[in-house]
Amino acid sequence: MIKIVKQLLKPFMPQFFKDLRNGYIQIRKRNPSMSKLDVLRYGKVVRVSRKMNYIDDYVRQFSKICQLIGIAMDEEFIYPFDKMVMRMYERTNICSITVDFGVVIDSDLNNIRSLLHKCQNSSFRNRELQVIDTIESLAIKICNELSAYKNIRAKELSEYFPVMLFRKPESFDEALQKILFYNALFWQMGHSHIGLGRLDVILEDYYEKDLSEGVLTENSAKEKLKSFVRLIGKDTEPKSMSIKGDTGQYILLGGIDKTGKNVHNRLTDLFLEIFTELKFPDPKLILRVNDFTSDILWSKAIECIVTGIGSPLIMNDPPIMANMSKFGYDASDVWNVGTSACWEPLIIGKSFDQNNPFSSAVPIQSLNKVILSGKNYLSFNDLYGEFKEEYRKELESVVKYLNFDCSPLFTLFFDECIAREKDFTVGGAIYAYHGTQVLSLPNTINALLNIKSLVYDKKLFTLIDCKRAIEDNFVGMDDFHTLLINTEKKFGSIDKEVLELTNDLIYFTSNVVKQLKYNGRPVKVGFSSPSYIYLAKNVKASLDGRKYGEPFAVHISPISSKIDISEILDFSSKLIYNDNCINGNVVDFILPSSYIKQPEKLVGILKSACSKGVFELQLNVMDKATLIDAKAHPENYPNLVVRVWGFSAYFNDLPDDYKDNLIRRAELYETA
Amino acid sequence: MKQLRITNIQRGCVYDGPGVRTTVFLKGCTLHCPWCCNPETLSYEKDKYIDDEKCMLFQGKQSHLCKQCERNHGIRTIDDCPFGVVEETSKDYDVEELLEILLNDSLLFKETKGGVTFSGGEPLLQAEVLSPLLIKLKEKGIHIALETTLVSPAINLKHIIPYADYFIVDFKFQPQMNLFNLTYLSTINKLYNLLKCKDVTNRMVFVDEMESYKDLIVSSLNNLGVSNLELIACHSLGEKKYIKLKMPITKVEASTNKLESFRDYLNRSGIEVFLLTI
Repeated sequence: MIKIVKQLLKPFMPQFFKDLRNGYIQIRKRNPSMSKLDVLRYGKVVRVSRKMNYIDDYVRQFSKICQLIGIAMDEEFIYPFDKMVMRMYERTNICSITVDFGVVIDSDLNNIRSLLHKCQNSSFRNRELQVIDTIESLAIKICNELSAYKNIRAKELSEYFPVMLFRKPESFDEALQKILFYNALFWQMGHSHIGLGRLDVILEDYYEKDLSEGVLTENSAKEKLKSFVRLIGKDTEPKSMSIKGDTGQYILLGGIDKTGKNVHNRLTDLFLEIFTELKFPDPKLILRVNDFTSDILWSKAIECIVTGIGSPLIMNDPPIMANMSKFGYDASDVWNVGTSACWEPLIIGKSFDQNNPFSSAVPIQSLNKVILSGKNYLSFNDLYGEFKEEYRKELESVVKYLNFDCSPLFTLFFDECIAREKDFTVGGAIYAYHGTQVLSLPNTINALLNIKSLVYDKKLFTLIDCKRAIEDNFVGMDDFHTLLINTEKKFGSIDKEVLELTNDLIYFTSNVVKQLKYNGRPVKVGFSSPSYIYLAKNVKASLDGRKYGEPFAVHISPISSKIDISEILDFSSKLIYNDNCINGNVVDFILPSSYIKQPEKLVGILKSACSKGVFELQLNVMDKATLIDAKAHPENYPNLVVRVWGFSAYFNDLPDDYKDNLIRRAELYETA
Repeated sequence: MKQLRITNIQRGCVYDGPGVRTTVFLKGCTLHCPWCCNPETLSYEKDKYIDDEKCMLFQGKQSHLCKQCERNHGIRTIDDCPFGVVEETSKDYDVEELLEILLNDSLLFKETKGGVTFSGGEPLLQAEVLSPLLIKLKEKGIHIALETTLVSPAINLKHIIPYADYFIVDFKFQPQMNLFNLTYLSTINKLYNLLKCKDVTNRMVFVDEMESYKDLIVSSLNNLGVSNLELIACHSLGEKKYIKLKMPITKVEASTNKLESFRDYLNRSGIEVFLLTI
């Protein structure tokens, strides 16, 4: 009854109340563990002003937000992120951006002011100057608040505010504080999935200087870094997008520097040690590897992976960087490749690449459509050709124009924005290559192989049977379902036919996407969509044996217990990704226990896979029995961390369908 | 041209010698250890798994594909069952064909200082056909290991020795094997001595009954000059294969207490023992 009344009154509700209502709903979504009453009591909604240009409104909101936020003064550092203050916006969220925190900590706001004063575009200039004024005011406010505290740490911190905004940090401690300050502001403005980038590179000089001058010891530096990481991961719930843990916060280690030299310093090791020790699920680590990555670094990474936290994800520099250059990124920029939260490559500090703004293309739906048409195809090639036409339409339909939000805040720190006098989102950033994803590639390949084998080669079933199986979800067709599951040739096998079919479909995808443009720019495509559960929910059964609503396969991963890690790595190294297939291609595998007991041998397996050209690797350590028990008795496993898609999370925090999917996959790979 | 009869080629093995290895399981063995987890390798002759769990009829499910099956009084034998009820346990490989498969991982072998391990069954029984393959692997610089019981004519070992770098010798001092006799001991002694200039890992499966024969076992090991040993408790992971091969299952136990006590005794007797877990 109440619901009906609410629905009836809705059109008459003034906009003001609608906005507030939406705002509180958002705050509640971001803070599901809080009561409705507390959300109403403590929540602060910063509404949209429809009288203003949306970029000017952002600047207004920023000022308001900085006045409203409450700041905890009792932590090791100041982290001005207030989960109860919500910025409202009506445009598409800009997401998964990695700011170059090296640029941020080197920044002097007065220098930026000088640059802005030279700008011709007065509205741009005034907006950005206002943003700087707001940042400064917030820093002064923090300094004033800190002065009320008498402890030594408050005094130390107060010395950074606001002066740190106008200089390069004078210490490791100040550098950490400066990163935290700005990182919190980015989050506060509603820009989600903020990557932290290459902290081992960025912080190295500060770390080494303080150690050599005796300002810090290795232990005290380690403790500071732990506090830093804890603060970044403290607000996992309000920072998460679809499910708890999905914050997109990553710290990137290794890779090469601007001169092409391999990066491996004491901080690279220290981050890995800290994560191995404390098993943080958020933020997560990504390790960029290349031919010069040392065995020591590989071993430390494996040591961290076998703790089960799913970190670090391995990015293989050579194939990624080569493809990025071919695609259109300047060869002199690709040394600084980072990711969009999960694994989709971009250039740190230069990219407004939105790598996941569109819905994923789902080729298995296209194949189902062809089968459900009831048309008879005389040969497999006829059917495959028709499927490709359907799939082409599917791919063409996913790239749609989106009205992105703006970010005068990012604009201050991204290369070229001030020189171009444009917001980061409307031509300011050097790169804006958006990307799309293909979901269900392994399911589609398996379904095609099954149709070829069972319908055309062995003639055991007909296309009419296939249609009925999809429509009836295999009810009364146990024999057909059994055969579909058990056919010999599966995605992930190095069988010639499997590889040729997979490469053909990847090549086709690449060519179709090549024709698509967003704002006149080419679009990227990847085969590692995070939506393998969510988007599968209403999809009918498919001829790989998947039943109605069951999840799709995860990324570039086998759906067969017969394919072991050696084979899937071999398989994925034989996949041919064209230059636009760079939007994340992750082999996701659950490690067998024998490798966990002999990590040094795992180093060799992964190194050799990378030498052969595997794109990206994500490794989980789980056993089925533990996961089943953890689902039944969550109280016994408060710290069980698992890797989900691009992020790690506490197992207990996951929805049941995600838990079940992990249990199923652990079972599958245990027998591999 | 003679072929090698192989039941499995397993890549990425970490327990069968140094580094990461591809293990090739050769068919045929004269010993029939009751705990053997690879019963499909016992006979050299071609044989088949019959997996009734895959049979629709056994599952009580209907299928038009089963109408012609012999189990439905039809004319089609179960060998042609589309559901894979019958599966060959082995496949014969030409040397060149197998070489190509094994070289797939040469980069990994180099990276991890691993290589190829031939196991079984008893790999020495196919030594004559195996040696040309070993020559080719050697030419490619691949490290070669053999997991063997040494229960084979000495000439077979002599075929292999020039090319194999590493041996895992599996001793059979379990009472069930009834091999505390001079024939076994002298054969082993002779062949084991041929391995003096090779890297050797000594290995033995533990079963509870060994506890009562520990003195005899220690003296046999001492006679061979064995000073260290990997001990692995027998397990029943191969049980399903026995069912599919329609072979009787012999229950053999290995309790943790007895295993540890046996290990301690060997350690006290000067034989260093390392417990292997799977």
